[in-house]
Amino acid sequence: MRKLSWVLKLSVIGLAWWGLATSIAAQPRCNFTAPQGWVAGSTRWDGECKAGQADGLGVLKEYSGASVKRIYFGRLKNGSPDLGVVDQPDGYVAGQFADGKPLVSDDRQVFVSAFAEAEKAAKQTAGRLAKAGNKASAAFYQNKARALREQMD
Amino acid sequence: MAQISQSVGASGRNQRQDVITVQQLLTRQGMSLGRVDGLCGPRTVRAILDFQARFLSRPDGRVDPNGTTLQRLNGSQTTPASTRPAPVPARPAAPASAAQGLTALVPRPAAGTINQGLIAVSPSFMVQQLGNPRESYNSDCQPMTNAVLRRHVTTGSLGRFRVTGLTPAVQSLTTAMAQIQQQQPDVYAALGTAGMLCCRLIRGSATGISNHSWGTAIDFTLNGVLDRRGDSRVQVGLTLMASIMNQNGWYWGAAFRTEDAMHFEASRSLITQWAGNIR
Repeated sequence: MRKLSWVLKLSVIGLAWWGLATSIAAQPRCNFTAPQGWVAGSTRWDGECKAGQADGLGVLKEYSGASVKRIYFGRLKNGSPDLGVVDQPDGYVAGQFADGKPLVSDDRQVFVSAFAEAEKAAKQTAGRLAKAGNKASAAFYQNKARALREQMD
Repeated sequence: MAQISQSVGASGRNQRQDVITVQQLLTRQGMSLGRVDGLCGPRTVRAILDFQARFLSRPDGRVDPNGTTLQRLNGSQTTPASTRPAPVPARPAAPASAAQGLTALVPRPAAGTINQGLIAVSPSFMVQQLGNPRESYNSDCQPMTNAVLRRHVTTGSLGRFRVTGLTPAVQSLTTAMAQIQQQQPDVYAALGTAGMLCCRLIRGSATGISNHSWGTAIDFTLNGVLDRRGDSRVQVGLTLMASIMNQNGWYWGAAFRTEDAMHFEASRSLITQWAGNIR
């Protein structure tokens, strides 16, 4: 009886491991280009992906060791930053991006749209994390969404 | 003991002789700030911040007459040698460049030290003085439909960038920018804008009209970076231009209940003065 119980336990663990491995293997490769000046290899995209390219709303993070240095909130198009906001220690860089660089603009609507897109990305990420049961991280992104929404008066 | 008549540094009055005094004291304390020239720019503020880091938990980049920082710069407020901590070496040579120092953050200045004699406007005051820019609003920038106001809207260059706003506001900003260029060349070189005229609701509000709807408010960027609203900290470069904007009648949003340091708007007195010509 005890032997059977061990076999059962091992089977459950094995199935769980197989499931995890399958999920990792099934996760499509999602390529992207980070904004200019970010350290390659220390970045992570958490968002939509199409045909192997990061494409759609999400959050792109640059790490310095274990801590997050900068976060891009917004939309990536064909793997490159398109419209969004970089949240960095001294403030925000917002707008339309091309070739990884923010395009200089004095059009207020560009800034309004960039922050709106960034808010959507932060909210979506918060929703995904809440669904996965990660309440603390979900709250972090909810707070970010509020700050991004209120930046432009 | 060296004295100053008014404040020096971030959001300071920065009178030339006072700045020279503080720069000399900083140099004597081993701080690296470049030339003693009587101009308080980002390097001088950086040096004040670094000096204050020796004894303040929250350096503010500002030296006040009779304040702790001035006393420390003068070498007073010393503790007995036996209990005195080992001196902290001055920041080594090669300080941060002026451009990098502009977006460094300092606590927002105390309420009484900025916007002296100026009053912020409210949307109801703006409607009363200038009329309603549109009949309806949403969360995006929409064209001004008020024909009278629209006749007084202009697009002009402020040197570093172009703005669209109410003509007297653009003219006033042109004057202020010329003064910033002369008195704070490093700040001027880094300035950009997140726009001026934009008829829309305040984001998240169903009724509140943005002050940008009349083209009498502007948001600035420094090196392309927007100061984060609501964190009660402000970029050094904004503190260095704020007194010039104040002298021209522009109210600084750093003093709003929720700090909004990138924002400057024409004060009540300017709006009242301009309203008579908007017909």
